[in-house]
Parts: sequence; C-alpha cells; structure tokens
Amino acid sequence: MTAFIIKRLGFAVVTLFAVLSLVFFIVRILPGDPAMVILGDQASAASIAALRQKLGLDQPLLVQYLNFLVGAIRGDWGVSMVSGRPVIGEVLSVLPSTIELTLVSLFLGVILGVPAGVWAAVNRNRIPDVVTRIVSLLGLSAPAFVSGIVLLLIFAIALQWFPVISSGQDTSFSGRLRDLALPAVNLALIMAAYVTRVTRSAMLEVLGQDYVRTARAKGVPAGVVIWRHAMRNCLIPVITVIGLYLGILIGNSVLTEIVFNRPGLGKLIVGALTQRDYTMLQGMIVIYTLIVVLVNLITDLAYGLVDPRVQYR
Amino acid sequence: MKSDLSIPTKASPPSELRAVSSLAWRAFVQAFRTNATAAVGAVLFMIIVVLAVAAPWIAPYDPISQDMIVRMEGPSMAHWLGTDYFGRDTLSRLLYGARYSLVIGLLSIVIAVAVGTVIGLTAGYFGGRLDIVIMQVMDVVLAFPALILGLILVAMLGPTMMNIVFAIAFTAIPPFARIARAPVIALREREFVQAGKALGFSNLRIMFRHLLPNILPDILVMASLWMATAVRTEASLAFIGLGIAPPTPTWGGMVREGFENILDNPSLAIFPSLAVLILVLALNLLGDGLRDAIDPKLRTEP
Amino acid sequence: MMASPVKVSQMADVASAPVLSIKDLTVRFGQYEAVKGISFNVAQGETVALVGESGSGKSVTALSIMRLLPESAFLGGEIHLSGQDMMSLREADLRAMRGGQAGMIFQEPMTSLNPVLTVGFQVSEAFRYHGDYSQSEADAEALRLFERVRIPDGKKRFGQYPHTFSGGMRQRIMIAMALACRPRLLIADEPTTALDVTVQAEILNLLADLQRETNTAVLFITHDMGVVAEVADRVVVMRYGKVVEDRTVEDLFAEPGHDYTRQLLSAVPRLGDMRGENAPRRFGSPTPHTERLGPGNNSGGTSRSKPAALSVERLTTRFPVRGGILGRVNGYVHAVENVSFTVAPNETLSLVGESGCGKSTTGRSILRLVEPTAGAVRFDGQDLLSTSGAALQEARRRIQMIFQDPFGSLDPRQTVGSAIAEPILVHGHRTGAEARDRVAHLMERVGLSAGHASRFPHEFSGGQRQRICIARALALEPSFIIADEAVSALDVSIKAQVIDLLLDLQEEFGLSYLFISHDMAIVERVSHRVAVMLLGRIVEIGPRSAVIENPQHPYTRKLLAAVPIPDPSLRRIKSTGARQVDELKSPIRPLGYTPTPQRFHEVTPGHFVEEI
Repeated sequence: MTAFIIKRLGFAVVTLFAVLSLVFFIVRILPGDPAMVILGDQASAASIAALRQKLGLDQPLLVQYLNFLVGAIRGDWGVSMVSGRPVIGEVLSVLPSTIELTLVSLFLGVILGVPAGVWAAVNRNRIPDVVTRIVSLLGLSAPAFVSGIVLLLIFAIALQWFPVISSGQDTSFSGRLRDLALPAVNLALIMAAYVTRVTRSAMLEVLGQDYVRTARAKGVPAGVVIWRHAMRNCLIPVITVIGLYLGILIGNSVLTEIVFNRPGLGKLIVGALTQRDYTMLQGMIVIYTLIVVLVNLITDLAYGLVDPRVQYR
Repeated sequence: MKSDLSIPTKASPPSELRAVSSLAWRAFVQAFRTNATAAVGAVLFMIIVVLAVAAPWIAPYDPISQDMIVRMEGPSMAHWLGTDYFGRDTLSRLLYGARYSLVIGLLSIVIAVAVGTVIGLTAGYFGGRLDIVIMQVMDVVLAFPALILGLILVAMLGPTMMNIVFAIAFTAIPPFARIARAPVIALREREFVQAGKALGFSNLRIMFRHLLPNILPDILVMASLWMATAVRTEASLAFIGLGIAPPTPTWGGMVREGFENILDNPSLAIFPSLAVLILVLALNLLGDGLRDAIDPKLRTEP
Repeated sequence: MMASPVKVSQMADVASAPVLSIKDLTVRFGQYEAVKGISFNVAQGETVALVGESGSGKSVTALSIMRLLPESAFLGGEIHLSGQDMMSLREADLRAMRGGQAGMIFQEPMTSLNPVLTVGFQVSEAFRYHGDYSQSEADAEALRLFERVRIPDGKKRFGQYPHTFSGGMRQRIMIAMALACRPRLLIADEPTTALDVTVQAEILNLLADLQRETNTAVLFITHDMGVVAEVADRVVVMRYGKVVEDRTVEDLFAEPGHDYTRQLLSAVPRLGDMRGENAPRRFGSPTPHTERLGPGNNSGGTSRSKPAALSVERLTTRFPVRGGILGRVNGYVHAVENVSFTVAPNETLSLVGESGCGKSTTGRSILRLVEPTAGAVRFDGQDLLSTSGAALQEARRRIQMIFQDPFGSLDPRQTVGSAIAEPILVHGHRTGAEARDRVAHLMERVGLSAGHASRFPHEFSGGQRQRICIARALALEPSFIIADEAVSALDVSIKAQVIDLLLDLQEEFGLSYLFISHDMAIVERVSHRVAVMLLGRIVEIGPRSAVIENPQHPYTRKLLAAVPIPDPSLRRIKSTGARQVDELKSPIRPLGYTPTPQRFHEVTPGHFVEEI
C-alpha cells in the first residue's frame, strides 16, 4: 500500500516535471517575443530590452529553465505580466471557488447518475430505460454553455430565483449557496448524464455475470443481488469514468464560469490567454496538471476500496 | 454419428449465434433496420449536411453583409430567425456556420483516428516497454482537460481554421490510441494472431491486414461519438472567443455575440445554441445506436 | 426454520415421490426450441447424469428447473421439485426453493464467485435467506461447512476473497454454498469440466461422500462419459433437445439402446484400450477418406534410427515477475525448465500435464512465439533459437501449429479460402490461380467442400473450423506440426473424427507431430511416445506403452489414476473419510533460484524417469 502510494507519487512528480518542461519550451519556441507582445508593436527597443531583463528573458535558455523549475518548486511562479501581482496569489484566490463548484457538481452528478443508471439497467428496454437514455444523451450533447444559457434564461432571467451574475458579492452561506446553485446544477446535469450511461452499461454487464446467477441460485432477493452483489463490481468501471470525466468537468467549468460570470480558474485562464499573460499561463498549467495528477491518484486509491483484487503494485 | 461436415442450419444452438453476431459489419446495416436511435441520428445528421452543402443556394442573405436598418429584429417574413446586432440574417449565418462546424469536426476526427489508431495498434501489438511509454504519454495528455488544452493550443497558434482542427485533433488522439489499443491487446492473445506468426506473416501484415479490420468497426463508432465531442469543443472555443475570427459565421461565435445581448433579445443566443445541440445530439444518437449494434455483449446478455 | 412455502405435512406426502419430476418440458428462445418436450425423474439419494454434446439442451434444462433462465425464454410442461409446481410459483416463493430445496454448482469456478465479496460472506449468505439465522450463527454454520468440504485452514480463509483460491478450492466453496441449507436436490452443471484431472477426482470424491452423508438427490450434467461411469446411478442422454435414452448406468454401458448412445460410447477413448499396441489407432469414424486409406492401424511405424526431425535441447523459458516500487524483477515463472526431447520423422510425441505445467509454452517456444531464455531447437540442421529473419520464417514454414480454440484461431473477417491461401501467397511460392487450386485441394483433403471457400469462419461448426485450421497449416507443406490441445474444445464425436484426420494426414504426408494435451485417453490413442510434464520439467518420457502401462514417476501414476474410465464396472470412487486436497503448485521462483539438476534413470530402453 505504502509502496503503491510512493510509486504513484513518483509518477506524479515525473508527470509534473514533464509537463512543466514542455510548457516552458513551447512558450519559448512560439513566435513572438513576450516582451514585445506585452508592450505592443509601438514600444521602443529600449523599453523592450528593459522588460526582457526584468523578465529574465535575456539570460541563456538553460538558466531560464533552471530558474523556472526552482521557482515552480518553491511556489514562486513569477508575477503576472498584466497585473504585476504574484501568479500564485492570483491562482490561490480563485482556486477555492472552482474546487467548490467542481466538487459539489461531482457529488450531485454521482448522486443523480448512479441510481438512474441502475434503474435503467434493471428495466432494460422498458420505459425507464428509454427515458433515461434520451435524457442522458441530451445531457451529454449539450455544450456546457448551451445548458448554462438555458438555465440562466429560465431560472435567473424569467423566474428570477437566482442571481444572473454569481459573482460572489454576498459572502453569507445562503448567498454563496444562491451563487453556487445554477452553475453547480449545470455541471452536475452533464456529469450525471455521463455517470448514468456508464452505470447502466456496467450494471448490464455485471448482471450477466456467472456470480450473479450464483447469488440468484442460492435464493438471494433481487434487491440484495443488485445492491450488494452487483453494485460493487459495477463501481469499478464507474470510478474509472468519474476520474476521466473530472477532466471534462474542469473543462466545462470554464464555460460555466463565463456564462454565470463566476470567479474561478476558468475566467482566470481565459483572461491570461486573451492578454497573452505567459507567466500567468504557466502557473495555470501547473495548477491544472497538479489537479489532474491528484485526481488520478485518488482514482487509483479508490479502486482498492472497491476491488480486493487490486494489489497496489 | 453427428457429422460435422454439414453447414449448421437455423436451428444451431445459441453458442453459434454468438459467433455470428460478432460479425460487426453486418451489424452496421442491421443497426439502421432495427435501431431507431441510429436511424434518427443518421437522418438528422444528413439533413444538416445537406443544408450546409446547399447553403450558398438556399441562404436568403449573405451571412456577413450588415444591414444597420434591421438590427436586432425578431423573426419575420423577411428574416425567418431575425437579425443580429449588425443586422445580419441569423438563418443565413446558421446555414453557413454549419459548414465550419462540420468541416472542423470531420477533419479533426479524421486526423485523430488515423494517428491515434496507428499509435494504439503499435503500442497494443508490440506491448512491453514501448507500450508502457506510449500509453503513459497518452495518459498524461488524456488526463489534461481537453477543452483547456485546446484553448491553450489555439490561443498560442492563433485562431485559424487549420490551427483549430489541429488543436482539437491533438486532444482526441489519446482517446483513439486507447480505443484502438484495448481490443488489440485482447486480439493479440487470440490464436489467429499466434497462427499468423506461426505461418510466418510479418508484423505489419498481421497488424494491418488482420488486426485493423477487426478493430475498425469499434473505431468508426467511436469516431461518430468523438465527432460529436469535436463539434462541441469547436463551439465551446468559439464561445470563449477562440474560434475562427469574426465576421466568419460560427455557431459558437454567434452564441457568444447573442449572449452579450441576452437581456435584450434571448433568441440570438438560443437559435445557434439549438443548432449546436441538434448536430451534437444527431452524432451522439448515431454513434450510440451503432455501438449497441456492434456490441454483442450488450445485445445478447439476459 | 425453513422459510420455504412447502408445509411439513406436504413434505411427508412426497417423501416417497421423486425429489424432481420433469414432464414434457419445453424451452423456447424466440424461434429456437432448445428443449423439446423431455421427461425424467430424480429420486432421493439417486445420482442422475444428464449427458449430451454441446447444443443438446442439457444446461438449459438445469437452469429451467431453478427458473433461472432469462425472461426471453418460454417454458412449457411441468417441473415439480419436492412436490412444488415450479412453473406456478411467484418470485418470492421461487427464492425460498432456490438454495432451500435445490442447490446448484456451475461449470466455471473462476467466474461463479463474486470477486468483491469474501468467500465466508458468500457461503453464510446462503443461510441468511433461508431461516432465522443471525449473522454470527450463519458465520458459524458456514465455517462448519468449510470443514465439511475440506477447505484447509478454514478459519483463516473464511475472510479471504475468491481470487486467492485455486479452481478446485473455489469449486469446494461453490459446493458448500449449494449444500448450505441441506437441499433435497443438488444440480451440478459440468462441475469438473474446467478442472484438472487430479482435482476433478478430488471433487468427485467429495461430492460422493457428501451425498452419502446427506442422501441428497443429484442431477449431474456432463459431456464426459468417463465421469458418468464414475458417478451416475442412472443416465439420461439428450440430443438436440430430446431425451434419446434413460436407463441405469450399467445397462447403458453394457448395451446402449439408441444408435446415438452407441456412437457416443464408441467415440470415447478408454484409457487402457491400447494395451499391447505400439502405434496409434484410428477411431474408424466415417470420413470421406476411410475407404481410400483402409481402416487399419497407422502401421507405418516410426524410424527412430533415422536422424530426429526435431530435437529440443535444454529448452528453458522464464517470464519475469515484477513488483516493488520500481517494478524490478523479483522472481521468475519457470514455465519451461531445461526440457530436452527429440521427435523422429513420422512420429507423434505427446506432451501431457495439467494446466500451468508448461506444455503449451514449450510448443510456443519452439516456434519462438514466446522467446525462450536458453536452450536449442534443432530442425533441419539449424538451431531455430539462433536464426532470425528469412531463415526463421523459412523454418516456420516447415513447422506448423494448430491451436485449441477453433473460434479464435481464424480471423473472423477473412473468408476461409483466403485464410488458407494467405500463407501460400505470403511465402511467394505460387501464383493466385495456383493458390486457388491448392486451397480447393486442401479443403477437399480435410473433408470440406471446396465450394465453401468464400464463406466466413462463423458459418462453420467447431469441428469444421478445426479442419480449416489443419488445411491452413498444411498449405505450406510442413513436415512437422505442433498440435496444441487441438481437439480439446471439440465434442467427443467430432474429436474422434479430427483425430482420425490427423492420423490419416500423418500417414499420407509423413508428418511428425508434437501433440500437446491434458487428455490422457486421447494421448494414448495418438502417440508413439509420451512425455509427462510437471512444473515446467519433463518427469517421465518414453514409448507410449511403457509410460502408460508401466508408469514409474509418482506424478504420472497420480495423473493416470485420476482419469475417469468410461466403464461403470471399474468405478473407483472410494468412500474413505479424509482425503488429500489439491495443494497450490506454482512454478514461480525467487530471483537467483537455481533449479536442482535432474537426473534420469532408464527403466526399459527409451523409457526415462526422473530420479527423485
């Protein structure tokens, strides 16, 4: 177990290192001098040179690379080329908001999706199955901005139940809940669609297994067969998919944050991209990679809770 | 004595039927006959393709010519779906926009299928360290949120159509490598592959003449599902502002412009949103129906 | 205590009646009628064997007794279990019958247990739904059952998961589960088919002991006439969904009443049948070529004086086992360890042993489908292990392989004609038209119609597919064929036909065979010489008659003693109490392990036995 975690952590570090190196060199290879980009075409050669020195762009590439790596490890991710504030501070100030959004929608998505998937599988080719199938297909066909706009039009603009802009002004618990409701529901519906479909097909496969027949042959009631014998087996593929779709969820959170005007990593990265804020972008990629690596680690550990055959090798 | 010298007839036992059902090509045709989902998806998709191809002939207006007199009008006889902030005809822009969605979706998936399949086939067939290294790299890319990866790539390369195609293809290569690899790993252990080696066939021959045809149906089905994703990603990029630069009509871009005026005229955001939804849904229905048709596991289980 | 709907008074009434009574049972799946109106009874304490080849409807019958068939199955007729009409019971009452009145064991012990629940839980669960047991009482009962089915270390193993158990142990757990509530009927659906022959013997003994203790009725479904002779009191023979014969086991074997039964029995090789003969013998099945070749023995004999066709010297194949943080190699599976043998021209050497003994790996190592670690394989004056490229491909042309699974060894997307032609064209020996002629000739030769060349593999039966594989192997005119369990997946009558074909071809083309099999009776039939493998090594090798009639190594003796003989008068299941159980055998060794050197002792000329 410990060996397994150490191994996975080692892999995480290697991944992180690889992504950091890749990012560093891609940013340097791309056409356009960052200093020129920041100051614009009209800037004088002197001011560009000054900025290059300030940003460390005049040093040899290898030195820049080492500085970058050391800085990344020490939490010094440089300062934003646009705002001049430390990147790490900017990232950390919006990170909780995105984490809150993703975790709540993940939770809601699983709570909705797993029972719906089981319901569909047990009633295969009957009305519940057809209904969940159509609804879940709609859910995974709608881009997050489309479903977001629909929710916004209905619940914020027409019914006025929730704020149009979930900006986080109201810091009371109920205020935060009102801000969170629509964005979280938007992401949760998409997540639920994926989880429903995976649960359904996993459950169908498990129900066809020999050991389910064994359980029935010894007279175990249908409900116990499904929830005790089949469910844990069915969770194995579901966990894989949840881990994978967390990436989609994070991607969709960008769109959701834009639609609901909610602060978070998504808005930060879009800002950094449109303003060509390279240092900010580097920092964002590091934080996304960290999240991805962490999610993978948790997914791997979750297998062990469900499947006794996983030996953490 | 029961002779094994006759071709089994209709009354063959279920185990024979299972083998028959593994012939997935046949299932492709069957899918349309027996599977309403696939048929609905295919019809919707064909309608959109026809409309997109015919856009220059059937669009009532030029999609980029502005008419400041009819700005932000609702649906009327002259403009069936109304006009936008610059007085451009929404219907015409939707018809032309379909072309970009389809071309970008199709091109990027063709590239991703070609590259991803070769990678997955190679990794799965040879196995060992090569497989471990290739798939670790794929996993890292796969784990990274595709939309954000696409976002970064397009932002850095510049929002031209080919760059968008490349960015989307890049994010879709790892899944196809995985999709191709999984069945290859299973097939590699099958005895017909061992038999091929024993008969002295080259690795390339076994990979492309024997393995590829066997995994192709799976891959084509996944291609239609991933084309849905590609269309959605393209629209999302455009919505964020990283689509093909205006005034080119893209659906995502139209939603973006409509969203800015959503309080005044919600229909500007709703019509292109619906268009994206219908195209993605059509592709998902198609892929979903085909997948059911070729997956004997889901079809024959009790 | 019983949660069953059967009232005690009713039970008394039916005490003399059969436990299971089936009348005019029909089972339909859509258009396909799997069971066509069958009737038979099983009385208390009686073992009835339900026998038939694949597709005969025997397993469907078993599942329909428990009403475990999918909803798509339409049932007709009557099934009475302990006097209860199973056709009219509601789901809740059916549940009480399942496990309560009838227990069931399935063929695949590897997949029949739930991998994520402990075995203790799965056994004690049987009690939980049939009576007022608390969890601790159920656990205690389950633990007692573990002892009764002789699972060593029961207490420790109670909380473990199925993947830590061997196949035989899992089948014991299945038996414990099925017998938990003292059912009146035990349905065993091919319970030993997936097991090695020595483990099969242990499980059959266990079942016999338990039946004697509890006087349970047993419905034993099998395709193996040897097992039938060992266990059954009465035999019901099924074919194409119908019962063709129903009589006592002694009568059935002594004078089979139905043609089909007679053919079935004549196709079954009996270990010991070949006593006193040296050469292989055909079954004499009616194939289109019998006339031409005559019914006689393969009298060609072998030429051991001539140089060997193939000689394997100190062949060793090991697979690394990785573990730890860095995935370092921390041991090796010694799959094949220092194996040497020769095969003479026109000779068949059989390689026998139980699963995991390395016999298949040996076959594959010769052709380098897996890469051997050390040794030499001499063929045509060349060492195959040190050649590569064109020379290796040329050698592979001359040595061909036939595999076990007739479903898996043909590319499902290639017509059989193209599958047979492909090697001819790849090796560039002929033009397209010549290849077509050769395909037609080969298909006719293996007993198929040349007109079927454009069909796909799924349009053929298992036996036909194996014939296609043989034709494909012959396409390159090899002189040596490695047959890896080539007939193991086939029904018994088909098996005999394919064996006959192989023997005919050997005679016609002067082929040498390396025949890899776990089936001692078949091996006795086809071989000139036999090599017995255990844990990656050969422990005994010699002329067929010497090894089988005069086995010297204890393992060879154990293996031969475990083979069920299809003759009820030779029944060997003894009712001794404690019996040994299968120990876990593993060829995995730690890093740096040096295998102890083997020394052989020559019993009679050419018959070598490992010295222990």
